[in-house]
Amino acid sequence: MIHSFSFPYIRFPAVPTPAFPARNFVDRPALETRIEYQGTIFPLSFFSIIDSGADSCVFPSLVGEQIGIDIKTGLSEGTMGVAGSGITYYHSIKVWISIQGNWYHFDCFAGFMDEMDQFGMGLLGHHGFFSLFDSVTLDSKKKIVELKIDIP
Amino acid sequence: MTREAESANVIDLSTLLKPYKGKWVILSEDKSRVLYSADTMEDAIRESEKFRDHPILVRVPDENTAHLL
Repeated sequence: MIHSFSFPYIRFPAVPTPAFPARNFVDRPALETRIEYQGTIFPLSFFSIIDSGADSCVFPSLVGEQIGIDIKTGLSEGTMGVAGSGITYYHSIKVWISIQGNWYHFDCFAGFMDEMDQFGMGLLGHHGFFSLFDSVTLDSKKKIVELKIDIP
Repeated sequence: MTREAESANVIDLSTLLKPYKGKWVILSEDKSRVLYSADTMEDAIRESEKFRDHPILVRVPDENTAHLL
């Protein structure tokens, strides 16, 4: 049976820039997330952006360090993405996501990147997140995310 | 369609967080209140033990923060 979950985008504050001098906020498809490593869970939720352009899930190195991950011992790859270019180190973690007030989790080989630290946000990408669902729809007009998943 | 109508569905944190440029903020689970603000993530995490449920950590951008595309 196909189950559908819908939830609104989140409006975050933004700093005007020379390119966009009137911009004071940005609307993003995002979920509250928590991450867990070997039984230790990060004590706070934080937002992660549902990023159809991200191949994998990536989180700030600082968040990983706080739950005991020795970030730079992970398998690495050079990456270029929304946070710029750098080295992403991968570790096996559990990712918790809150959808409509309910918490769900999935195992994930997730990346950690120093360049994400200044944002305090994660990215939910294809490997790990999008691959869970039959479809992920980002309706940028209505500002609604719809996730569909087939649960036998 | 007006801009207001287009964005009627969003959960708006921009007004609540606007005074906290450059800070690490802990939001209440229902996203209605700022529980604490700090200059560093580590400070915010130390303070998080005081709060129940699932408070939310947010880094509010300032002029020195790159824009996340």
